[in-house]
Amino acid sequence: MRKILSVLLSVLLCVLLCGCSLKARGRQKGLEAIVSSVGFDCIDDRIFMYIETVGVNSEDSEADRKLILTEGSGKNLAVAYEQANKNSVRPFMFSHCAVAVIGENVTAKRMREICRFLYNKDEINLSLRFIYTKSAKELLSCDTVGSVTVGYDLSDALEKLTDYSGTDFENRFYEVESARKNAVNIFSLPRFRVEEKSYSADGSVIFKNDEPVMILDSSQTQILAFLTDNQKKGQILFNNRAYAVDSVKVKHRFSFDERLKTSLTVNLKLSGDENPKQQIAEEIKELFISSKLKGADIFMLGNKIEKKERKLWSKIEHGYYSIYKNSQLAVTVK
Amino acid sequence: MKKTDSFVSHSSALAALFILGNGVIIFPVSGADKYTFLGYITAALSGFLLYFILIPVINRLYTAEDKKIKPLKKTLFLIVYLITALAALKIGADAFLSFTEFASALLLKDYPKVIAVIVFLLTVVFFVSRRAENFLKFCLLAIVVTLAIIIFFFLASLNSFDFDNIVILNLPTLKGFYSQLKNYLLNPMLSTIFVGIYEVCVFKKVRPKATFWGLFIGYTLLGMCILNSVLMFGTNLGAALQYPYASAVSTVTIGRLFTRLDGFSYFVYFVSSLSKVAVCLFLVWEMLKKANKILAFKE
Repeated sequence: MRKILSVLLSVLLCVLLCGCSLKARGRQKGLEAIVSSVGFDCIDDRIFMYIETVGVNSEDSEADRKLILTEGSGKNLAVAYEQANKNSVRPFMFSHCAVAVIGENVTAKRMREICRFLYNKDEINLSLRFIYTKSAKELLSCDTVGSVTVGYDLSDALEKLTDYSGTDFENRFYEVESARKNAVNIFSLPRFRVEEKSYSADGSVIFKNDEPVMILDSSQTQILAFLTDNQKKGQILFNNRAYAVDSVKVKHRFSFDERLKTSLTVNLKLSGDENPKQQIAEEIKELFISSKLKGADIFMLGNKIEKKERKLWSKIEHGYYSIYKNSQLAVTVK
Repeated sequence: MKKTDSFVSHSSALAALFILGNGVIIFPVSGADKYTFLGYITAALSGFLLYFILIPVINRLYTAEDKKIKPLKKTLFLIVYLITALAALKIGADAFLSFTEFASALLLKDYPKVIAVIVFLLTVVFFVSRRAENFLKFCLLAIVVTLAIIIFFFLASLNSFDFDNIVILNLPTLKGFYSQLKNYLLNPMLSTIFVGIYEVCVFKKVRPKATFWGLFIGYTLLGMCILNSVLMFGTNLGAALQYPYASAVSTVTIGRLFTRLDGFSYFVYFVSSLSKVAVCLFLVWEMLKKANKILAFKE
């Protein structure tokens, strides 16, 4: 009797430990719709949610697997999700969701609502990637390229982009959430544009306090990545030409005398004959001026001062943003 | 169990799993800040010291020959045994609740919580009712797998670590430091003593050498789990997550096929909580037996 009990208990434990949630209820037991990506957009005061799913049934062949984009809308995200649920035959499973697409009409308030919604979904994948685009629905309705869903295609496209250009986009959900939980709530998301049902990467968008404040093109995105230690090698696009980057070293020097003065020295080794270093320096200055106007310390100079110049930081930390807006930057690209 | 020279590595395994306990589920707790790892390191070192300082006391208190005790000492021992039983009950209950909360929230989410409680309780009772050798053998097997899982996921997450998350720019104030240290005071620091008491109950004396390695492995593994969450998410987000270590493991993917590997962290949660609760339940039972023995003895 003891042995039988032991065996039964062991089997039960194995079932529980392998992650089986033993669903007793559910619309179609064992036939959940796997969510590959989720999109959000706003029109007037309504929020729209687009859930891209792939129904996986072991009896279906690869060709029979259907790609579905379910839509829901409402005055808030809970209502929109409920409506999307009603429009779906199967319950959604978010554990393999790879991408969250943010439409350009999403406001700061809605962005907070979206992050809260995703955070509260127990099974959400914390490494899902955020992407910014003009219309979430348009992007998720594009043709698939390499995999079964647009969501997984986008995830692959981002990885390839990182491998190719060397730019590390810190756009995973946990990276965005970490940035949002910091006092300096600044993060950037890669931007995609859609043309005739196909998409391509198109720079990035800087968010400050959950609001998109700056749109950067591909060159600016890469320059910013170099300056914020998110790119060490790879290549840099400039005037529609790609330059291979052999190495990059950035040095900061700070001084404070009525105004904060930052001296930025970039040691950039590029392959090839042409040398666009002066133009890069000009581009950095332009980026700095735009960021001052938006009050967004996109180069994370505050962080650098906090780490390297403790005395200076203790002097300026309280009024840092007004000091930043009046600060000066001298750039040398060698 | 009478042999004092056997099951040495098994004792180490048990000590390591006991230290991991429910700490691997809950740490870093809400309110953790950039000094949390400093607090942990201090607690771990203090736990080590506490264990080795208290060896003579543990040997003296828990191996006392009941019949030779004077009335005053008898009362003292009775109080010590009852306090030990209560403390073990508290520590065991914390671990039990941590695991059943987790199991009902993630593994058995479509069932009432009582199901998770019953299943886990039955498992613990099953292990406690077995002979100590069986439980120790289970611990040895479990620690090998646990060690492999924790090290693998730590290494696999290295690319995602941001070491700025634990860089300390300013030394904390005493109050700020204590607020972080106190998260680790009862669990795992003070609960280290129960490893010694368990050894006395099972092996008739404390086993410092075996326990040294057990504590070393346990504290190192728990530190790696905390670091895994803190370095990946930062202290703010790490402390806000319900199951930080499982969340950190869930971000690891191997190729396109192997995603959502958090099931492996569930195994760690299970074996470490089970070991801790089983040891605590065993201690409660032993302490009550000892107290009863003292009460039953007539001068």
